[in-house]
Amino acid sequence: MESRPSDLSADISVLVPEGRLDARAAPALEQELAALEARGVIQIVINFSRANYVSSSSLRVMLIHTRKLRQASGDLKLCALTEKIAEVLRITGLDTILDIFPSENLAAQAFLTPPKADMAPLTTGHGRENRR
Amino acid sequence: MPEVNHKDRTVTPKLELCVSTKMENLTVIGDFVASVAKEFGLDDDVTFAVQMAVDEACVNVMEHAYCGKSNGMVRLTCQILDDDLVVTIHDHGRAFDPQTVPRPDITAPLEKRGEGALGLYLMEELMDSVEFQFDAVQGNTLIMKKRLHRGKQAL
Repeated sequence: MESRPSDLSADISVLVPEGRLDARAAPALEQELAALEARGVIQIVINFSRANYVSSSSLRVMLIHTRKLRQASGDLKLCALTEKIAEVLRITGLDTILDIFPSENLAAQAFLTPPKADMAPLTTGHGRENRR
Repeated sequence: MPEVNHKDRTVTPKLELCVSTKMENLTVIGDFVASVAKEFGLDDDVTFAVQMAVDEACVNVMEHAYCGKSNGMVRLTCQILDDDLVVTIHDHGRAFDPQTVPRPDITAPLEKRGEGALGLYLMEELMDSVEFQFDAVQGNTLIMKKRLHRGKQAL
């Protein structure tokens, strides 16, 4: 799984999982996230452009680490989901909890310019732009 | 795939896969469902739903029924019966009571979201019916059905 800094900021890390994020692949995702957190990284983007499947095991990993990162004033943001992966997040209600963006740049930008609390989200809302 | 029409009934042959409960076999199982879908002419949405429900069900068999041991066996069958794709998943691992598994509250905020039972929840959401049968001798059987809504021209 590719792990690299974002083009926009070295403080933001990007993970790029490939293929099937099923129960067999979930431990690797968990390890990558834990490794970044151990280095003090609290702003992480998962870029799904090379993934075609996400099962409940990986959703669980994302849920646990989003909670952990937000407690540390960071976040886990998702981007470039396929239609099917977006559908799985919608069915499980995770689209209302996790921040989802169309592209990696938009996800990274959201870390740099967090929306003001009194403003309604624009294009960087809480996952709703991926709803069908 | 030749289908037999008994008067008004549509019945395909039953396609079957029997593999060990090694995690590596999840890919084999996914490929089997994809080949069944092709054989039966299922559309992308049905194929995805069935692949995901079967994947989640088989992970549950591997992780819970066989407690992660890779020497168990899981047997999968797929058949079209009238308007339904009927999938059965059979194992001889530990039984459980699906009623006692708490379903996730998908409207709960992050801090209150549990991480358990997402797989079972997805199976129930993706399929039209999910039914477990447990028998001390026969083993555990999961029967999942997906309504096909296909026109006669697809036959």
